[in-house]
Amino acid sequence: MTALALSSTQAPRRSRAVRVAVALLSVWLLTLGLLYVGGYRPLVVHSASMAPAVDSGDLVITRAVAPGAVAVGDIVSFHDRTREGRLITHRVTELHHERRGVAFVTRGDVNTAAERWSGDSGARVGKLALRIPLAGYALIWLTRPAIILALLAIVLTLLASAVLAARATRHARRGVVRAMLAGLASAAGIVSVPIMLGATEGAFSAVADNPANTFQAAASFCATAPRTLNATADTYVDQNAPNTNHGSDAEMQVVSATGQNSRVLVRFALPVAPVDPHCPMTSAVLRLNKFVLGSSGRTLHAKRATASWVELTATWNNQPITTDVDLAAAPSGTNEVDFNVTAQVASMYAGTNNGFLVRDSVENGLGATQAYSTREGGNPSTLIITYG
Amino acid sequence: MPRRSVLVLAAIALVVTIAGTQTWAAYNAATGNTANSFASGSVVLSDNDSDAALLTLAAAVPGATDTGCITVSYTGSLAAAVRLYGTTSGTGLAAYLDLKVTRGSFSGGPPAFDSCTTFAPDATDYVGSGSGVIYNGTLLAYPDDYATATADPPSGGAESWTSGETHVYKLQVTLQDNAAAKSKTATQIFTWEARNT
Repeated sequence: MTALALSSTQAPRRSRAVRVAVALLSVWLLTLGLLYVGGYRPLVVHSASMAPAVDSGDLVITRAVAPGAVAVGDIVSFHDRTREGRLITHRVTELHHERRGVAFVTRGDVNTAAERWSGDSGARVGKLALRIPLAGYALIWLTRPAIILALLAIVLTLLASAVLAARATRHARRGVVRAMLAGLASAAGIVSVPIMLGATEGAFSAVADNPANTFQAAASFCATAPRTLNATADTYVDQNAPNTNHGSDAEMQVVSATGQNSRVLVRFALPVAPVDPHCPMTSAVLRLNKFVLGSSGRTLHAKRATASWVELTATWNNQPITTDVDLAAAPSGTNEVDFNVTAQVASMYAGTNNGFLVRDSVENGLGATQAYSTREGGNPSTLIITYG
Repeated sequence: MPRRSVLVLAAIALVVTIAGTQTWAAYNAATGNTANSFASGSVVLSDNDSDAALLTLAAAVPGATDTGCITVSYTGSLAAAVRLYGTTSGTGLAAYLDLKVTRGSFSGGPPAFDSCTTFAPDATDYVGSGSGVIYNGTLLAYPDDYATATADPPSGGAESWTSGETHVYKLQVTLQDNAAAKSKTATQIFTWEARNT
């Protein structure tokens, strides 16, 4: 009678306790379920690389969002491929919206090194929604195998006790089933903690930089300086005196006048071309220097002479033939006149150097005259060759 | 407990399992088991350059070279692995610059920054380019981020640096004999990055 009375008073207490346990577990599981459905996830922080904003042992709740929903300054969780895919929680320091997604630069608040990664439009990033300081330590303790086993043992003991108590009541079968289900729910609640809880791991880093190393290659790899050559032979030939030589004159003329045209002949001793392969000839400029006369508005032609001539015997009647290949043109003026004769000099190097003939582009004109100095005039023509 | 409560409980458990798997697959696929260790401490890496450039070439012609040595020191409390990489910019000269990075130490007292007096390379031939050499290639091919960075050292397993550890790096850059390099420029940041292991 005494045992029956004891059982009849303890049974309702156990039943209430079971109901409370089931209700608490229901709330726990429902909360976890809603968090997951809403895209939230609990993570235990294992690193102080974000301290003090997020510290080691904290529990953080992150929410899955599209990369486009993240802003600079947000704290996000992502898988860092440079850390074997570990889940890292760091602050966004730079964002670059690209065609296929977003490029992130993140860094732990105590770190000096950053991570660079990207998420395409379909990816999800865990954005910090809530931080519960130190709660991670408690959860980690609860998930230790020994604690799990101990809790399960307690549940098993309570379950056995409840089953024994239920067998003494009138509704034994129903009581046993309730006790079994309550035990099963309790075990599920205990086991759910380590299954659902994530971890964001340690990620300390630092950099040492050596900046501002600058390298510049020279515009030319050639060490040979430009050469300025003075004419070694110069004269002019005069149609008005076709057999007269002017090789000793101080001036030489280019004239465009009917029956009285004049042409200049000038030649240079070309230097040996540099053997340095980095020193090809890049330009050659023929310059005729002013004597006393000069007029603007004419176009002069410098042609390559293809036959030899002699300074002290050259005349209108024996002037050398020329070629129009690579002809160089330049406007006349009151001062010196320059011709780009690079191609002609290259031909001279490749063949024979007979110098240049300079004439008005349109002869038989109204008497336009250009007068240039010869070697004897003290201001000889020059050829400026540049290498490299 | 009413039977419908039991069913509700079972349904919730099922929803939790399914929802947890699908919703978070986007970024938790590689999540490992919750570890029991908590990391605290520091990772601190420094050098002796005072932000001065280690290497410079100006109006360089083929064969022009510059050499400099830099001392990198670790003072963090956590063990760390170090990698080398850099950031390259400019107008294309990096493809014509040969870079050799050699790890070693000073056999005597450390000279002033940039000087390689008494530099002695590590005895190990890490990459088949001579004692202590950890990179031998063009500046263009030098790694440009941590993911592709040169481990230090690049063979035999990355070392775990501990507080007080110091290494000297000798960097040498040489302009190739290639006319295509004329007038081109390059700017380089050399980076050593330490991460806790």
